[in-house]
Amino acid sequence: MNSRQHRFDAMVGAVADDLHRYAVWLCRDPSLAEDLVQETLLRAWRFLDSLRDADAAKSWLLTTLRREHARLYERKRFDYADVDLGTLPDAVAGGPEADAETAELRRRLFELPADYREPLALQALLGCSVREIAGIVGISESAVMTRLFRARKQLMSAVGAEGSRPGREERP
Amino acid sequence: MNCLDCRRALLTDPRSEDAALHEHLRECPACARYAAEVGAFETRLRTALRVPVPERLPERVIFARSRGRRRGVRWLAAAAVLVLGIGVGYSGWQYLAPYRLADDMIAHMAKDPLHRQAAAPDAAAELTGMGERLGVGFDANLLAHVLRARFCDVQGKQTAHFVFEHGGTRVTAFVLPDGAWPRDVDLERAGMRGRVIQTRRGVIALFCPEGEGRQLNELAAMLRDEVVWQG
Repeated sequence: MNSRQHRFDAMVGAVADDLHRYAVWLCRDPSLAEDLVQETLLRAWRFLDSLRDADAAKSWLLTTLRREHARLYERKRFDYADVDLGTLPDAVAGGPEADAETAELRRRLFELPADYREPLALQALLGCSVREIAGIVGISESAVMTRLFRARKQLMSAVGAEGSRPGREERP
Repeated sequence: MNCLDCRRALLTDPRSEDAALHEHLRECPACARYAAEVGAFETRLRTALRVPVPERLPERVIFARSRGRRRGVRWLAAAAVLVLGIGVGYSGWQYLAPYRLADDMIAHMAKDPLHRQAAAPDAAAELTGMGERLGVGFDANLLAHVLRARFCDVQGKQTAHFVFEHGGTRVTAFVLPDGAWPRDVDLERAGMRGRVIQTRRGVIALFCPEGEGRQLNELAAMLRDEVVWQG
C-alpha cells in the first residue's frame, strides 16, 4: 500500500462516521447520507495532497459534503421517504429509558428547521466553532449564534429540559 | 454579564470558555443551575445526534474508491482494445486493399475483355491520350506493343485499361492513379495470374492467363520504369 493510499485510509477511518451523521442530519435520509459520504470522500481522494492540515481537511470535507447535497437538489427534487429516525437503533444510548429519551430528542431534531438543525449538528456533533460553522454554511457568525441559541431553546422547551428560569427567580 | 446574556451565551455554546460567562456563573446560583441543565441537555443532544452509522462504512468507502480505480483501469483497457482494434482493422484493410483491387480488375476484365479483342491501330495514341489525362507518361517501347487501350472505371476511379503483347503473351494492365499501400502483391484468381505494384503516385496491375504468367515479375519491373508519373 502506498503512502497516499495509507493517508486516505486513515482519513476515512477518522471521519467517515461523523461525516455520515452530519449528512443524516443534513438530508434526513440515511441512504442518501451514505451516498453523500461516498461522493465526498471520493472527491477527497482527488485532492488528498492539499488536505494535509487536519483542520482544513475537516472544513473542506464538510463544505464539500454540503455542496454535494445542494447539487442533488439542483439535479432533482427528491421525494424523501418518511424516515423515522427516532426508531433507529441507538448505538450510543444505554437502557430502554435512555433509548426512549434519545428517540424523542431525535424526533424533535428531525422536526427542527434545517437552518437550525445544521449548525447545531456541526457544533454539538462535530465540535465546530462558530467561525467554522459560518464558513461552512456561508452565513455571518452572528447569524450562526442566533440559530444555535434558537435551536437549543426550542429543543429544550420541547423535551421539557428547561427547569429553572434564570433572570426570573434570582437576579444577581 | 447579566442573566439574559448568560443564558444566551449558554444556549449558543454550552462549552464556551468565555471568562465573563464563567465569572457570572460563579456569582449567580440560578444561572449556575441553568448551566447544569444546559450541560445535561447537551450530553443528551450529543447522544441523539450520534445516529447509528452503517456497518463498516469506512471499509465500504475505501472499497468503492479502489473499485473506482479499477473501473478507471478497465476504461483504459477498453480504450486500448479499441485503439488496437482500429489499428488491426486498418492494417487488415491495408493488407486486403490490393487484393480487393485485383478482384475488381479481374471482374472488370470479364465484363470488358480487351485482352480477347483484336488489336486496334490507334491503341498507342489512345493510351498516350489517357496518360495525358491521368498525368502519366508511357515509354515508347511500351506504346510500340500496345494492342488495345480504354479508359475505364475501377473502384470509382478513372483507370487506364490496356493490353500489350510481350513474348507472344497478351498482358492486361491497369494504371490507376492515387492508390496507396505499402507493398506489392502477387495473386492468382479465376484462371488469371496477377501482380499489383505500388509506384510513386499510383498503382500498376498486370494480369495474364495463369499458365503464361512466368514473366510477370519481370514485366512488372519493366513497367515500373516505362510508366512515368508526371508532376
